[in-house]
Amino acid sequence: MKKYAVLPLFILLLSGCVSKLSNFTNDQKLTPESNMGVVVIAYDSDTAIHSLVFSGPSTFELEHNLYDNKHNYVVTSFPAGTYDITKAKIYSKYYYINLGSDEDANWKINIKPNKVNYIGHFNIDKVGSGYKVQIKNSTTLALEFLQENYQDLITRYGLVYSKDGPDDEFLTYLDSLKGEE
Amino acid sequence: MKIKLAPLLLLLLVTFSANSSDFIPANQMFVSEQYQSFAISPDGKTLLGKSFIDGYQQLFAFGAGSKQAAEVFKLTTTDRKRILDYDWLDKDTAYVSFLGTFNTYYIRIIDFTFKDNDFEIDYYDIRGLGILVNPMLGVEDKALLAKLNAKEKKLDLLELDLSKLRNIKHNSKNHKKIFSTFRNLSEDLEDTYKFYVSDSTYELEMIGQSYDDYNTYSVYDSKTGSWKEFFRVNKNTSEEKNYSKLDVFTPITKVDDSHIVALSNINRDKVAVVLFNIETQKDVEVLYESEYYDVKAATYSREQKKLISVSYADRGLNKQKFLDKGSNDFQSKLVQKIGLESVFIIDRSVTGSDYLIFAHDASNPGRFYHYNLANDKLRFLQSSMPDLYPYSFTKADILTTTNDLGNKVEGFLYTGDSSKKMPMVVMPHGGPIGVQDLNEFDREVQFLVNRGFAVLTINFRGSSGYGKKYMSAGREQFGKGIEADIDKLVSKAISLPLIDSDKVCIYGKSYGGYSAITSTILYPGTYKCAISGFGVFDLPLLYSASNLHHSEDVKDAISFVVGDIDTKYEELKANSPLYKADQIKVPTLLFAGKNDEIAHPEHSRRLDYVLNKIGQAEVDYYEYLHSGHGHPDWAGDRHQLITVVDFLNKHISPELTITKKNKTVIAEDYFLLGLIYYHGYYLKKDHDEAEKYLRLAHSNGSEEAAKYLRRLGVYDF
Repeated sequence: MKKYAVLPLFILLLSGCVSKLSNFTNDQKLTPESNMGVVVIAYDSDTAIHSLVFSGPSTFELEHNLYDNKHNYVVTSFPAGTYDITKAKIYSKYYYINLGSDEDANWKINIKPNKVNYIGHFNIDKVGSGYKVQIKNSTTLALEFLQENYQDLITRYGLVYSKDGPDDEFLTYLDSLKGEE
Repeated sequence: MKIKLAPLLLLLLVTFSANSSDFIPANQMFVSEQYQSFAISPDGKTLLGKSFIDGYQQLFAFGAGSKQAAEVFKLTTTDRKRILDYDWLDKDTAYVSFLGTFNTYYIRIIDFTFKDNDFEIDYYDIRGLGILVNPMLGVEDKALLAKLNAKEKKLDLLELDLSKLRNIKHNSKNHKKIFSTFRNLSEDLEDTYKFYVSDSTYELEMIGQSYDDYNTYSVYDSKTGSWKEFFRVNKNTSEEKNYSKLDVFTPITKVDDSHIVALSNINRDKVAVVLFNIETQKDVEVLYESEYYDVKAATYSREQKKLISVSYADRGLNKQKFLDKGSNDFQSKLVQKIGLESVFIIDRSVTGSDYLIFAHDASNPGRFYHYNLANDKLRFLQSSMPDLYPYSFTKADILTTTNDLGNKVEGFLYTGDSSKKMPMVVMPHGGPIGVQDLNEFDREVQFLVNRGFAVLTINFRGSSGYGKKYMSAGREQFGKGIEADIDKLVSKAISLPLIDSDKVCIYGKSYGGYSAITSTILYPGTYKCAISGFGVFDLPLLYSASNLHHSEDVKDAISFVVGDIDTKYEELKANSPLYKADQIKVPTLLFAGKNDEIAHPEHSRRLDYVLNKIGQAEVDYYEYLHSGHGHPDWAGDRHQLITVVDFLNKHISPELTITKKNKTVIAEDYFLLGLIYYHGYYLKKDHDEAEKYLRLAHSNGSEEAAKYLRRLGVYDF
């Protein structure tokens, strides 16, 4: 498997048209508008992640502010559509790793409206002088987290795996098991 | 600076032996080989050995007849530090290539000064990653070293001149200056990664080059003074019609301007030793081919223009076979004297007077010997795992069957010396393509046999060593032909009087984990339990485990073995035990590594989740915090195997009388598990689990466990 390792780049100016997203806390009743999807991502990294930049119908920056110390998930909402995770800012807003889909790494996500869209566990590992960056499919961990913390949300909207790529029917299979109960 | 060396006792005295029924503690079985290799000086007078003891890698030297050795190099193994290579450069100079502090590679040159029966050493370190290619024994103070050229991402072949390196102030600046004066034999060549040097002229005569998209081999044409490419293979093999991923082509030596000798299975089934014409790029003669097995290595003498030896796994045992009668008789004599089935000559002096021998088989992890031809004297040097000396291990019986394709399927049944009916553990190997189970010493197999279980390993279709067709037959056979091969041999094994057919479980790792769970679905009456380590259970998830799996290269590699996801999605899903979890009816034990990038732990998490949800099969799941596709050190293996034995004892317990001595070993094993949970090492800290295992350790006699129980505030034991 090819490793995706890049060096961090230093930037002087930030783009001015990026909307910042915030986390929803466990206490909030999350009711996105009809064209929005709830987005769930986990950060799983040996390197401090400052934020991720999503480019699609709009551009969003999702800062890594954990709402408590118990877990590493961020739950927010986006307008539905296809996005690329284009940058991972590490340590601070000034350093970023350029991502963007290429033949070795697909960074697309497809956010569906009125669904809880789990997009993966975002992982950065320091390898030598570079970084290996990937987004792993850990649906079971996300499901268990959401069942414990956002049961109401997944009951109302239903959980889907929204990372672009080959089909993953695990959640559909679980639904079918529910039907058999 | 001359260093006077403190003597080490070379030979360990064997003071006790154990009964064959004595249990081996997990922390004695799951350790590295303490003695790993030896090298003999060109004059046959001095030996170098490499050991790994108490967390240190060490090189020690001793005279050919001496019983005392002296440490000449020592390295802690923290922070990935390790010895990469070592050898003699001449009769009084050795080199060590190692990864040292701050992840930095070094080459150490060690000069020996011999006086009477003693020696002193002097040494200096050079920064850089280098591996010896040829010691140039015919030229004083010269040696050929392949050194990493990080800037150009290639290896350079440098002719070291040790006389220039002695008596200087050793620092990076001086080393750089002197290295720039060394002849670079590959200076004008791009992307070189492999060198073949003439043993008589020490000139570079054949090279391997690795480019982004393809690899090549070329020979030097002395007539035209240029390099001539004779073999190329594209790395993206899907575009290459004449070469498959299962093809092997490895040059051994250049013979003349038109021919080389190579290991090859191109246009043939088995890997054979061939004479290859570089003009026509075709084999012109098969020098050696086995009817049943792939050749793994060969030695060829250019002077004598003949093949000297070949190596292959004969009925699971790696063997070196000499082709001339004299050498063959010599080897037979050694086999008889040593009493182990597989005997390799691993080094010899230039004079031909002294040999280093490594002998091993399934019942012995290995023994090193020195043989002196003039005295016809064979001297035992050391066991590779001397701490295991008191225990006895078992050899396998070969079981074979013929599968539906008409192929012979080989398996190895380990039963020990029990006269009672034994429960059996079937252990399918990983891969499934290109991996081979051997009839050689295997810690896991021997640990299970030691604890009273017969073990069956199987080289099902797809295994390596039996030719390309057999290997290819395992492609896209997940849940199909591979499991049929396993079942056929299992049926044969359980028909044997020694095997208790009511007590059979299946345990595998990686693909073997998949096979274990799948076999319980396909053959529901056969197994009482199943164990998977680092397994895969959702075949489409192989393609979506991470975004890096979406690249064409990764997809291509997975689909070659498993099947194409774009055209066979439903088939992959249908052969995934996850989606048939309602058919899993036996107790199941799962292990996974949190950092596993090959079989992502998500596979095991999903199966654990679903089996718990369905609730008809008992399931235990362990996710190791620091493990990948295997464990980074032996503590993980110890936890895993003690847990496996515990699980097997629960479901297919052997009929054993537990002696007092064995209770002590059981206590030791449980104590180890207790500490893992107590400290949160490898698995999450869990005081309930710690208490459970410490209580078990205490009930089997561990006083140490009592101390830890009290630290947990537990006093009612």
